[in-house]
Amino acid sequence: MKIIIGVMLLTLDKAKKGQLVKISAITDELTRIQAIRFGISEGAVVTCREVVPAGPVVVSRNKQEIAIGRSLASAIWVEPC
Amino acid sequence: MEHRGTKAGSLGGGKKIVLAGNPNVGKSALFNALTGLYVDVSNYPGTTLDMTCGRYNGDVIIEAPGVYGLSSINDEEKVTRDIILAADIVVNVVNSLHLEQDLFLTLQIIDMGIPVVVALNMTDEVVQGGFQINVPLLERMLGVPVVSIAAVHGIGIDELKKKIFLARPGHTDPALSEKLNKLFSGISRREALLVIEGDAVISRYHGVEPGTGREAIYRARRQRVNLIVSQVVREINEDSRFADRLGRWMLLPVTGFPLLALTLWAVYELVGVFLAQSVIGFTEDIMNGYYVPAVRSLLDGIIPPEGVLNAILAGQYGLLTLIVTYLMGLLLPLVLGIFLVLSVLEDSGYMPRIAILLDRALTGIGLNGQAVIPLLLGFGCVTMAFITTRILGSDRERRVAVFLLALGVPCSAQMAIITAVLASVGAFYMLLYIVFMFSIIVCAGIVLGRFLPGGPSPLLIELPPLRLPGVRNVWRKAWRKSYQFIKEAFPIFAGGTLLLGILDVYGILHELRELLAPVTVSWLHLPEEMADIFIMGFIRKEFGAAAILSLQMMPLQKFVVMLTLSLTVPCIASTMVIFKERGWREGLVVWSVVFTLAFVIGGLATRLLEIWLV
Repeated sequence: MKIIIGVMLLTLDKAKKGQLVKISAITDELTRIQAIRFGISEGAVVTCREVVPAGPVVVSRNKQEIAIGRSLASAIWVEPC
Repeated sequence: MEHRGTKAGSLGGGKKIVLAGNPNVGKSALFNALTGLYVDVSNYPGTTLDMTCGRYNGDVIIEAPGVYGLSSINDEEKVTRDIILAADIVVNVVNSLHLEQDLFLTLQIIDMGIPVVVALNMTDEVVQGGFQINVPLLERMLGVPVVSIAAVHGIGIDELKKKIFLARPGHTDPALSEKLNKLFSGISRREALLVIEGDAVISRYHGVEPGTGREAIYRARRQRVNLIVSQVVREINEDSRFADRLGRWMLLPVTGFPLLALTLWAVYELVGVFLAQSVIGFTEDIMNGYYVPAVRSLLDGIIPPEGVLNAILAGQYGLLTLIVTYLMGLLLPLVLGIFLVLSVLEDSGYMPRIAILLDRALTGIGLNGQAVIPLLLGFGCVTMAFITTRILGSDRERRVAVFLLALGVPCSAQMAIITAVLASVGAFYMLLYIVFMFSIIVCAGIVLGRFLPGGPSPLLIELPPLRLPGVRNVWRKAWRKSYQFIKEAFPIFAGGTLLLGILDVYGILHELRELLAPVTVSWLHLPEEMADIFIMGFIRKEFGAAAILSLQMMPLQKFVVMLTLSLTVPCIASTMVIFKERGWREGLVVWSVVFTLAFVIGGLATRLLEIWLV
């Protein structure tokens, strides 16, 4: 966890089920490009639908759900809201 | 040449109408509805990996592979990019359930200045999904015609047909347009957009530097999409359907593994018990009780029973007896059963959920969850599964998946024979077979995962809604695949049998048997005739295994034959596809390693089990 100007950031794999989070940074460039197309860009608010133990994280935006592998989820920084 | 626009451009007269859209939005269903042809329709992304063409009145309809955007991230994108560059009209198929994702591609195509008509698919599910879409407003905001359709049910197709030729370039981002006009006067607008978005291939083609503004353009486009969606989509209610809850249970290990086990048990009951025992028993009785004697007595009346021709037509490997009995009496019911099961898994949306459930486990063998799709499809037809490995994210994963498929996944025809043979020697051997195959796949995967450079690429897949599969689509797909399978198997099978029959009649088979005796007799402890089965198995694995039913052997020997045959590469067709997908060098390595491993493991298993069981 790191603190930037008083805002608490955590990686997506640490998010809780049902939590609403705002994507604040995606560290890998290729992932960032792919994620934008899936509707997950920096600044987007998504719901964490499911965190499969040791497995992928499922997030949703409106009606659409996307599964994100654990290693990828740990490279996506989010801000709880 | 990498740039394929000209290739797609040489399809003859008429306009080129391109069906484009994200994966799993119903392009194939629409293609079928418009052209009357049939291409596969499933509920997982990536069914269409190459372009499909069809005639539509005087024009050509081309279905492009599904992509989330146009650039050169993977092969499908390259193919789709070139098809769209050459298009006269793009019918952009959009899934109403996730406009937010799909409209990104729509706006990219609109920004290219190509005439577009948007087909808003799966509108029948919108109300169930709990929201409404304001179609006239969407039409105004995009600046192109929008038609609501439900392609699988044939709804809205007539209206779409009327509107295809009303396609027009839509509203583009003014700032972007200005930039495009200023920068490139000599390059067409559609290609100019790709250049400033940094597409290396198109830039090189025109001899200009690729642009660096991709991320800024994507971000602006994403904001336009979000604005449109926020205006046109209205939520009605947010109550959770039963399917949603079931979908959740499928993902979590606590409930997901029991559900998966339950599914596999149901599949075993259907294929392994009902079809492999009851139905096959019935069809074989008919074939052996009525068909074969009828053919034999008929033939004996026409040609002398002791002659060579009679032996070839109706002998032990008879063209009219063994082949027809085997294909119709044994293979068809089982293959159809397995394809029915796979179609249900595909159409219901369960497949990607299995992928998520098993993601963690598959990471251990150097793959990610998505590899479940080709591995499961391999149980239908390994040859098709090899082609499906293209959906995997990296070359490394495709390599691992191809090897595991070649080594450890028996196709439906082999499974048919294996189930039939092992069911006759008892459940113990069946269990033993499963344990052996499973351990071999896991060990091979672990070894590959450890020694191939790099790591598994992370999972990033879209989760389609869980839905009840349509009976008609499931049946059509399973029937079509089974028919193709049998049709393809028949000539190879007939040719192989004929060859074997001739070799047998002229005594060459006997010499080959002696030549192979060190392997069959000394190493695998099998009767000498088993060499026939390995020779036939070389042509088609299950074809070799079919002959085993007619040989007298100990249960252990039957088990060893099944194991060894399962481990070798399935058939000539799949061998060709390995070479095609992986190149000659790697193909040869995969093929010989798999063959060597098969016989080494077969011999080791023989010794191990002889000590343990005897």
